Amino acid sequence: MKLLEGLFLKNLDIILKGIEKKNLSSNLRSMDSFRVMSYQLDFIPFATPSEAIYFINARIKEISRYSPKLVVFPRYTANLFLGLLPFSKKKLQTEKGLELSAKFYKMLRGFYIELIEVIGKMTGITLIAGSVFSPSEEIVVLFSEGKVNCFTKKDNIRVVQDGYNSIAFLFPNETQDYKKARSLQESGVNIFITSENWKEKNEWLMKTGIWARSQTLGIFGINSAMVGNIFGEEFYGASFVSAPAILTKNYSGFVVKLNDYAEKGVAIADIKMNVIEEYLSSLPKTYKKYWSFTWGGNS
Amino acid sequence: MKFYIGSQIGLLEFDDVDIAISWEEEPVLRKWIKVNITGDEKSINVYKGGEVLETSAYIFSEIDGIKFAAVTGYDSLYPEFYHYARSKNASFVVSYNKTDGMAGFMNIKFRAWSFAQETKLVIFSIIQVSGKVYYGVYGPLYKYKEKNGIIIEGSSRDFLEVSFDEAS
Repeated sequence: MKLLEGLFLKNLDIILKGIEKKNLSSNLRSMDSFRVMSYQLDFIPFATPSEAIYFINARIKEISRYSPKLVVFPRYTANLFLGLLPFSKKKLQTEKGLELSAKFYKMLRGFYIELIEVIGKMTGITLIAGSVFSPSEEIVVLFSEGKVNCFTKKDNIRVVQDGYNSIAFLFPNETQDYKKARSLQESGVNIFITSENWKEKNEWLMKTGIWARSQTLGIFGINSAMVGNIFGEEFYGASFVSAPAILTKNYSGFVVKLNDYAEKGVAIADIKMNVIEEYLSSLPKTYKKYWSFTWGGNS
Repeated sequence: MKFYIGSQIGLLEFDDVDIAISWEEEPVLRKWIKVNITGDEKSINVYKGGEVLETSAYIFSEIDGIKFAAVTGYDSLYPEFYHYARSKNASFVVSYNKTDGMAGFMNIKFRAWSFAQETKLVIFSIIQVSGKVYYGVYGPLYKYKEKNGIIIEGSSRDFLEVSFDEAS
């Protein structure tokens, strides 16, 4: 941990000097636009500490420039730092090397959580930063209202109250489960975040996830994706913000979507919570009569 | 199973149809049509052998061992109904909606497509948009050759054959 701290955190202090601290959370009770940034990153692990520092610096500057209230990084973001570890070199993948590598995973986890906390405290915004540290464990790091939290797929509660809005994170397969999304929606969640990486350049396939839930349930969905070769498989993104078609430009169901599947970038959108609330209140909730069936009772 | 979707009058040109699906109008009676489904934004009629079998806001029925559901109104806009239909072993659902303008049309169309993806059912979406009837048939993404989940879309009458295996 000390090694990683030495590499990054001292430099981070230097990077953050001169960047104005923005405490935006205090404004969240307003019904005005809620600006979100959803990153699409290419999966090329950092080769040197200076690359990593440049990456962190560039993201902080972007976040400061656009003043969002919510920023989402894709799954595997933390793994970009693995390129810095000597144990990822093939010649060092001995039994001893792998044992040390496992220890490094643990250290990296600690480092990454601390990194997100530092960035979160400096910028004063909500950050959701999905990451995988090993095939057996995936954690999502979440910074909100001054605190950093981590959760895995086993944790049922993944909702943060961020001022006026309730935000929930869904792991990729969970976006297909309307019951999970419906139960969260009924408990007051109005923004759903996920991090799905698609293996095909097929927009219809991409639409089967959180985009489809936006259409059928009437929710805002945010997807943050990686592109490139990840663990031997090619992924094509894409990052987007979705909403019911009736509320989007051109009735596409996308508030914003990155067009190029192969490029890194950031999808930025100003979402208006009062608009979706008005839309939902205009529809009678006739679905409630099916709840005895939906939740496992007799139909 | 052989489906005809479109105006009832068009049925006069087909002599091999199992199920005819139309917006609300008087059914054309032909002895080879096993089921004739018509509906609007308020109710659905299911005819078998020229007799009105049922009239309701939603219906569960069966033809040649294939179960199906038909729905209209607000229930047709929510996933709960389609999952309920699937739990009743329906193979396809016919939904009727009426709207004005492109926004409402796209809203209903995307919902129907999404229901097909999450339930793996075939969805027949009949939408009257500003007086004109639009027909969309949607199914699971990879079951049909275009891999986009769209089997048929358009405002003209159409004829299609759909097989329902155990997985559908």
